[in-house]
Amino acid sequence: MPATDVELVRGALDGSESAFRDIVQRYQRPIYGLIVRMVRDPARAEELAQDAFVKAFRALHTYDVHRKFSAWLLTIAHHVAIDEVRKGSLTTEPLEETTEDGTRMREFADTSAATPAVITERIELAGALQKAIARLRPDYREVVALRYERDLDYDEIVEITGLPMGTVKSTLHRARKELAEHMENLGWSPTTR
Amino acid sequence: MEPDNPLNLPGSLSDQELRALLKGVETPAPSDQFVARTMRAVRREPLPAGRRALRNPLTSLAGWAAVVAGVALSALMLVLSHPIFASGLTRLVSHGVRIGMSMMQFVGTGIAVVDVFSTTGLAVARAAATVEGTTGLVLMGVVCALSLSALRRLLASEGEDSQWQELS
Repeated sequence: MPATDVELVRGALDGSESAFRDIVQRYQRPIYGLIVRMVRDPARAEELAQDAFVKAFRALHTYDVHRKFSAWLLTIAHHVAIDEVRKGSLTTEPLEETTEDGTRMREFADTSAATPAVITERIELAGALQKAIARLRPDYREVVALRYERDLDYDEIVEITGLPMGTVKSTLHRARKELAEHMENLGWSPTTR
Repeated sequence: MEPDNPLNLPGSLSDQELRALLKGVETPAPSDQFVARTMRAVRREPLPAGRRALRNPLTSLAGWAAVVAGVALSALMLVLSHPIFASGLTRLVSHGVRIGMSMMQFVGTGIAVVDVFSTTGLAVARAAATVEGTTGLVLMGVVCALSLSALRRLLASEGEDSQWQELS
């Protein structure tokens, strides 16, 4: 049975290198995923994700075991990414070229029954969605990533971002609306079935 | 031409619809070297006061091995520095060497005997495989059988008196 987050934290505080390595392995995708969504530069996102883990390690003794460890770690990643966004050092890529922000498209679930045309269409849809997300503001991209990629609830997003609940909800609402507009601009309009 | 939307994308996306859409997009992952690089950076990082530095499991193992070896060496030196223990240890070592040598000799002799038997067996088997060898063996067998038969008849003939009995 794999060790719990709290066990790994205690192990790392006790000097176990393998315990902290397990933490990095377990959370590399969520941390990197959140940061790359915000900064849109895969190489820079890796550096920032590394910074986030180093900061987490330094502050590990301040972690309250009653809190959810993933939320604590994502809070650190949020601050690292926000600092980068505020510095304004992000390289802004042309929107047409921002679909490949380190992500790979995969086939949608249950493609066995789908025809090649439908599979192609779904892959195109995923690509369009990546483009649409890339067009959002960094704070919108962050809440979208936390809510829909990390599957977090509103309370956790409030904890991570430090925003009031109302702001989180309204940001998400605006992000969804903007996403729909971008999707329409990319040729994905509602069907009338 | 607008693509047909398999997920019925509305004018404004709902919570569930966006979740369903994003399920089809794989979350980004860092490069394969990310964990190793991060761990190197973590090890280099100075720690706040009171925090324990990270220990590499292999380094710890090597450290423990060095401690055990050091303790064993110290104990040996201590024992050897005392005359009684030193002579006892010398006797023990010499007995051990002698027993070892005897065992090696025993094993060597055993191997030599087995070698002789196996060589002889191999030679007989090779000889038997030739026509002359087979003929010789058959002849020897026939002679042996005839001799045994004659001896048996001689011993079984109860009616005849033995030359030895007559003489006595």
